[in-house]
Amino acid sequence: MRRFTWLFMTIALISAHGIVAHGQQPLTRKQIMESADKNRDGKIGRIEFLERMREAFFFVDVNKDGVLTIAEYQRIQGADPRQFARADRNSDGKLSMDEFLKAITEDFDAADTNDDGVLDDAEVKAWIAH
Amino acid sequence: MTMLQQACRGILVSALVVAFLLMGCESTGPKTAVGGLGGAAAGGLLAAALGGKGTGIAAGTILGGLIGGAIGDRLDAADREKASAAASQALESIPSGQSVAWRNPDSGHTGVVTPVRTYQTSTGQYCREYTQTITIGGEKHQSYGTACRQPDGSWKIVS
Repeated sequence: MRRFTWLFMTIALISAHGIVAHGQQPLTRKQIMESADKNRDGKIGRIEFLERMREAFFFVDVNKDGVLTIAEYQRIQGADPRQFARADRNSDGKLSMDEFLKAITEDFDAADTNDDGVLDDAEVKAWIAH
Repeated sequence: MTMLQQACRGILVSALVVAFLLMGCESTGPKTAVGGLGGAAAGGLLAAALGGKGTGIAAGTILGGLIGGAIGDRLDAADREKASAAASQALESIPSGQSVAWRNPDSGHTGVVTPVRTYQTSTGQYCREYTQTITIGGEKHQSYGTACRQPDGSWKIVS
């Protein structure tokens, strides 16, 4: 069973050539890490990560109606409709901010093996190993 | 089966059990996120957050007092127009931590608008907190505010 999650992919992409948003230049590793580690403590905290993800929701929500449709979601690189469906807890075909944050929090918690609320180097390495 | 064979078999089974348990103890891999969005999507989301808007939607207008008080009194109409355009662009399409600058060559006044946080209200409305620095005659004036996006695409200053 595949255990890839957001962090694995992020790190993998960092290790390769950076990641590319729609119509944007490839992001450098420095840009990515500076964004994820907002307080520069060398760890990725839950709050700083979720803040960044709230912002991602805003930018992905093309018509700014406050929810993500499957069409909007599929504009994201690597989007999987099956995961969208699982995250859509009330099965209305849309992802609310709450549903979105619950799903992304699950990803974060899965990586946070010692349950301290932050991802340290060892946890990041573990993600990479998987 | 001799007693020796039975003993060897017992040791082998025990060793296998211990090895299996140790493998479990040494596992530091991530837990499975059953309801998560998955890694590929999260990587794309992070890229979207870092890259800002790529939708081609034009920035709307700014409603309310973007620049008030004594500082506002020192700006002319062209300054205000440029400041409003910069704020609108920053709020609509720029990731938090990045800035949009404006400059009026006629007055010499400049400004920078930087979103710092994005959130959604309970009604689904998007709001963004921002900082704004306006430089008049070499003197910098910084302010902090919050603007919320209206259904028509404009941004209303709420604080």
